Formats: sequence, C-alpha cells, structure tokens
Amino acid sequence: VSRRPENEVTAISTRARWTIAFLIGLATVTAAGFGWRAAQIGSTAAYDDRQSISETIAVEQAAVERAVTVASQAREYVRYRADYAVAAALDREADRLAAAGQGRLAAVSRGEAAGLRDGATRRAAAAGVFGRFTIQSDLLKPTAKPRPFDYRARARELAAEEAGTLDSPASLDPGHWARAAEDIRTRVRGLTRWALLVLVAVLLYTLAEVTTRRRLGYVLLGCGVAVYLAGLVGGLTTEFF
Amino acid sequence: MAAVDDDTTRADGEPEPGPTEAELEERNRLRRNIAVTLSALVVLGAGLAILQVDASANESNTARETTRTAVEAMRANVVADTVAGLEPLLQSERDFLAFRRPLDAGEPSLASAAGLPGTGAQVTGSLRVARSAVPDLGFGTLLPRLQLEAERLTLKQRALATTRVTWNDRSTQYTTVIAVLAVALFLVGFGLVVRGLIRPATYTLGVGVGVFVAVWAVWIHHLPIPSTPDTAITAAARGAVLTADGSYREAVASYDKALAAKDDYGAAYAGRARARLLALNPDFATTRAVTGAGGPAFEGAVSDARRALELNDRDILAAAIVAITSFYQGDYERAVTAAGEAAAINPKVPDVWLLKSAAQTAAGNPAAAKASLERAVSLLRGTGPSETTRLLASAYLSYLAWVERHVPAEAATARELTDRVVATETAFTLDRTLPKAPPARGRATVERLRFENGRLRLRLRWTGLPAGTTLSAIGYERPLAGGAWTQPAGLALFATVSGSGRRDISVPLQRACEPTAVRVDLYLNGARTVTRTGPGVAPTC
Repeated sequence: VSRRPENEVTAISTRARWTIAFLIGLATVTAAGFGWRAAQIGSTAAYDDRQSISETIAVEQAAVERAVTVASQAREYVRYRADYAVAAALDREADRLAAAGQGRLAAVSRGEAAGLRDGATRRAAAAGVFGRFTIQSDLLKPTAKPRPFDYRARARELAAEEAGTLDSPASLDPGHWARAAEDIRTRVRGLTRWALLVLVAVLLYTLAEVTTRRRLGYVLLGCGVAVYLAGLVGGLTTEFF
Repeated sequence: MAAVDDDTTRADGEPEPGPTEAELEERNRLRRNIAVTLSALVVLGAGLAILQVDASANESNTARETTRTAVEAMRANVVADTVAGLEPLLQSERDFLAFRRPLDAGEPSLASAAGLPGTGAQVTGSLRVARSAVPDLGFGTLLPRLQLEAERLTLKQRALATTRVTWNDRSTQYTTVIAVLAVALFLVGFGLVVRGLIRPATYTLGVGVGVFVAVWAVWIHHLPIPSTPDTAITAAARGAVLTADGSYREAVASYDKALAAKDDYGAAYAGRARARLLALNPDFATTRAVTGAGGPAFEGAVSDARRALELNDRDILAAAIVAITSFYQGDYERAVTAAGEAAAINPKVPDVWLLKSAAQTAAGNPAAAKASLERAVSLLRGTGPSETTRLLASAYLSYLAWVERHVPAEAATARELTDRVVATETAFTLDRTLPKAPPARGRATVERLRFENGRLRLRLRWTGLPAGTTLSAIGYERPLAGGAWTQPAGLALFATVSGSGRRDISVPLQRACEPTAVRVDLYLNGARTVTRTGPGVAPTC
C-alpha cells in the first residue's frame, strides 16, 4: 500500500498557492479596514444625532416661549379692549347726560372714560402688548378707538426678533443634523456590503486552493481577484472617504 | 514523513502503518470541505453583520426621531394648553363687564342718579355692545388645529417608540445569532486540528449549527417591523380631538379611517372604544350617566377595548374601558380584574382604584372595596380640593349608586361607602376635622326640589344649628325612569353654617338625557340626615 502526504493533492502550483494565501490575507485585511471605517464614521452619526436632538429642544423651547408670550399679550390685550368697551359705555352715558342738560355729570363720565383709556393703554404698553416707542402719541393722549392686535403678526415679530440675536434658535437646523446622521448610516451600510463582497472573494480563493482540477482552480482564482477588486474599488470610491 | 500529519505509533513502539490511498483521499476531501465551509461561514457572518448593522442603524435613526418628536409633542401640547387656557380668561373678561360701572344693572349710575328714563334698558344694551367689543382674537379657530397637531405628534411619538423598540430587539437578536455562528466556526475549525472520528463529528456538528444559524437569521429577517402610516396617526388624532369636543359619532368615523389604514392600531381601537361608549352615553363625560349599556353598539365598544388591550397590554385607557364596560354589563368580577390590570399599569391613577372599589363592592367583597378606596384616597393626600377631586368623588358616588340600584344585596355596603366618601370630601373641601356625630340640635331640610325648564331648583333651609356645623348637599339625577341615580360633579355644596338660614339654589343642567327625577342627600357633620327626591321631566332617552 503506497503512502502519500495529504496536502499533495492540490491541482494548482505551489506559487499560486502562496499567492492565494496572500490574497486571502489581503481580502481579510481589506474587509477589516472597511469595518474600521464604518465604525469610525458611525460615531460621527451618533454625534449628529445628539446635535439634532439638542437643536430640536432649543427650537421647540423658543416656540413655547413665543407662544406663552403671545398668549400673555393676548390676555392683556383683551383686558385693554374690555377697558375700552367700558370707556365707550361711559362716553355713551356722558352723551345722554349732556343731552339731558347734566353737563357736570357728563364731564365726570367723560373724565372717567379718559382715565380708563389712559390706564388701559399704559398697562398694555407695560405688559408688552404695544411697544412703548411705537405708541408714544397714545401714551400722551390715548386714541378713542382701541389699537389693533394680531397674534399671528406678533408671533412673526417675535420670531424675527429671535432670529436677529447671535445665539438665535432661529438659525438652528435640527433637520440638517438628522439628515447628516442618516447619510452617514447609509455610508456605513454601504461599507458593510462592500466588505461582504470582499469576503466572497475569500470564499472563491479558498475554493481555488482546494479544488483538484487545475483549470477550475485558476478560474476560481481569477473570479476571486475580480470580485475582490470590485469590492475594493466600489468601497473606496463610493463610501470610504 | 514529516509532511504526514496522521502518523501514529503503536504501544510496542512500532509505528502504525500509514493510511491507504483511499483513506488519504477521504481525509483530503474532508479537509477541503472544512476549508470551504469555514469560508462560507465567514461570508454568512458578514451577511449577518450587515443585517445587524442595518437594524442598529434603523434603531439609532428611529431613537433620534422618537426623541425629537417627543420634544415637538411637548411643545405642541404646551401651546395647545396655553391657548385653551386663554378661552376661559377671555370669557371671564366679558362676563366681568356686567360688574363694572356703568354696565352693572344692579348698582346706581350717574344716569339713574340724574333721573334719566330707561336706564335699565340702556345698561342692557350697553353691556351687549361692550361684550361684542371684546374680541376672541381668532383663538376659537386656532385651538382645534393646535389640539390636532398636539394629538398627532403624541401618537406619532408613541408609534415611533414602538418601532424603535422593535429595531432594538432585532439588533440584539442578530448579535445573538452571530454569537452562535462563532460556535459553528469553532466546531468546523476544530475539525482541522483533531484526527480520527472526532474530525467528521465536529465538522458535521459545526455545519449543523451553521445551517441552524442561517435559518434562524432568515426567520428573524422576515419578522415584521411595526410601523404606523401617517394617515392612520392623523385620523386617530382627529378622532381624539372630536371626542374631546363631544362629536362622538364623527370621532368614531375618524377612528374607522385610522383602522382602515392600519388594522392593528391599538391606540385607534382604544379611542374608538371610548368614542363609542360616549356616543351611546352622551352625558357620561359630565355626569357618569350610563343610558346605553347593552346592545350591539355597546358590545362594539367592549370588543374594541379588548382588542386594544390585546395589541398593547400597557394601554391603561383600554384596560379602564374594559373595566367600566364590564362593570355596567354586570360582570363585576371581570371589572375587578380589568381595573386591577389598569392599576398594575399605573398604580397612581385614583380613578382606577375607585372603579375597582365599586366593582369589588358589587362583587360582594366589602373589605377589598374599602382597601381600594383607601388606596385612592391616599393618592390624593397632599393635594387641595379642586375640580379634579370633585370629579373623582362624583364618579365614585355614581358607581356606588349603580351598585345600590342593580345589586340590592350589596346596597347597604354601597350606602356605607357613599356616606364615608361624602364625609371625607366634606372634611377635605372645608379643610377641617369633622365632629364625631351630627349636631345635637337643629335640623336642615330640602324644599321645593324639582327639575324644570332645564334647571334644578331647590331651597335649602337650616334652623337652630350650632356654630361650626358642616352642611353637605349632594345632588343626584336619574336619567332613565327607574334606573340608577347618578351624581354629577356640579351638584355638590359644602359649607359651614350656624343658626338658621336658607339658600335658594337654581342650577342649569344641559343634558342629552334630562333627569326624570332628582334627589338631594343632606349631611350634617358628615352624617346623612335627610334624603329628598323631586320630580323631573318625562324621559328623553
């Protein structure tokens, strides 16, 4: 009975076997490199997530503050309008008293109405419903008709005021950070897929190494090289950098 | 010789004869298979890594969006609540005009002092003009939009949280699969370094584990990831807003749309159960009056609530609805169980403990009922009297009134608990300790008790009461002829009185089912002294 070493059945040459061993190592290192890069940029995605959340909090906090401010001003404006409504009723009472020849009582009513308007205007200005500098003539002598108030316009004004400050939440863009994080994760996914392709080359190299048919061995080796190169070039050109 | 790795030596020192050609061929074939299998397992591992990375990336993205949406939902709710809080303030400003000169009809004015004719009519007209001059600023139309946005974002956040948790689980599952794959790699690789029969055995075992891992990964990959379409979320949010607005039938239709978009949407089932329940019992939200317990529509509400609980066993609303519907269907044991489940989800909700207490009363377990009541009361310690505490008490009194009517065997226990709760609420509201017994002298009565022209009217009279006597008047109404009484939150009065006096009371009651009878229980120092009933109107339900 003849004896023979087990590893003498390989079809391809010894040099090719060494080449395959090297290529297997190269493919493994390449796949590991892709994995390293994926982990590296993945940590950037986590940072972008945190930025997105913190900016969302800042933006929403500013929105709440604007809403509370506008609501507070609306509340004060309604008090102002109620005072003006009472002042109008006092004026009507004064008209009736004057018509009935009660001039002194009419003057009392008119004076009360004027005082009410004055107080209402000053209180509204103090509460921020109207800017002090924009209604200076009213503060000297309030108009007979109430000034208008539009909560939508006021909300826009407040947003514009915020946008003009250096630490303005209006300049924040949490969506930008969220998109950046998702783009990075798309790259991570891509890198892992290219790494898989590179590892398929390892499988082909192994088949080339162990096959007993020489021609098939070289075909498999060639396929492995082609797959490896496709994975390497694809990974480097699309996702790695 | 050195290249032959399977040489062995016999016990007598002579080398074993080498393997035959056929044996060598077989061994080499196995080693080739092992090499190829190892490579295949590495590729399989890389594929699993891709799945794990995908799941992990989705989990991270969803986690971020969940947090952002939670913040947005918080903003939307705060803004909606702020604007909702404006409405009563604006209304109170209009109402307060009637107490300001010269719009106060009850006070003398300069015009009346001057003897001008028609002053009363002038004041009324001026008041109308003044009220119309106080604007609502458009908040009436803004508020529903804000509420819808707040509800939509809240539901979206919950849906995202569910998706996020599933991705997290999926990522962990793939990690576990990869760990098992490492075992397969070890077993197959071990076949390269051992000889004899162990080699094919470990190889075969390793291949088996590898195949198992592959099948396991495919199975995991095919498990669904829950996601809720925006159309379903928006429709459910609209349903919630319509329910809060009292438009119950429109709310049910909106929830139908949500379920058409996602047929396993738990929040929509729970919302539809509530809307259906309220559509059948339109006064339930204000008076706890149950006028439509039974029939297919009620069964629909019950099955919706049960389905919601199946889909999400942490949905306290669904559990509470199951408890309430079971209670009003007379299935008190089930009501106790469902209330217990709701309490397990959140033990800090007193409503649930009160419902459980009432169900335990009906089920003939007074000791447990008292314990549940104590638990509810303990949750309110440290708070002050408020609309919320009154609503809680009125709900419990209504439950007990139902037990008193429908479970005669437990009526005495229900009355005992009723009296205990009224005494507790009286002490709580008046912030004082009640005397141990009713006053030794004096009395209090209810006269002219009736419901007519949409108002409950009565005269409360007390005579000869010692100083510091507490007087509590608890009003009930009966929406169905011969049905159970119900205790609306608005019909309660707590006061400290002395000597003699009277108060004429007239309360508007806007009801879908108008009272067929009314009742007032009077308590002095927390002890029931008088119960009076009065007529209502012909049944409207």
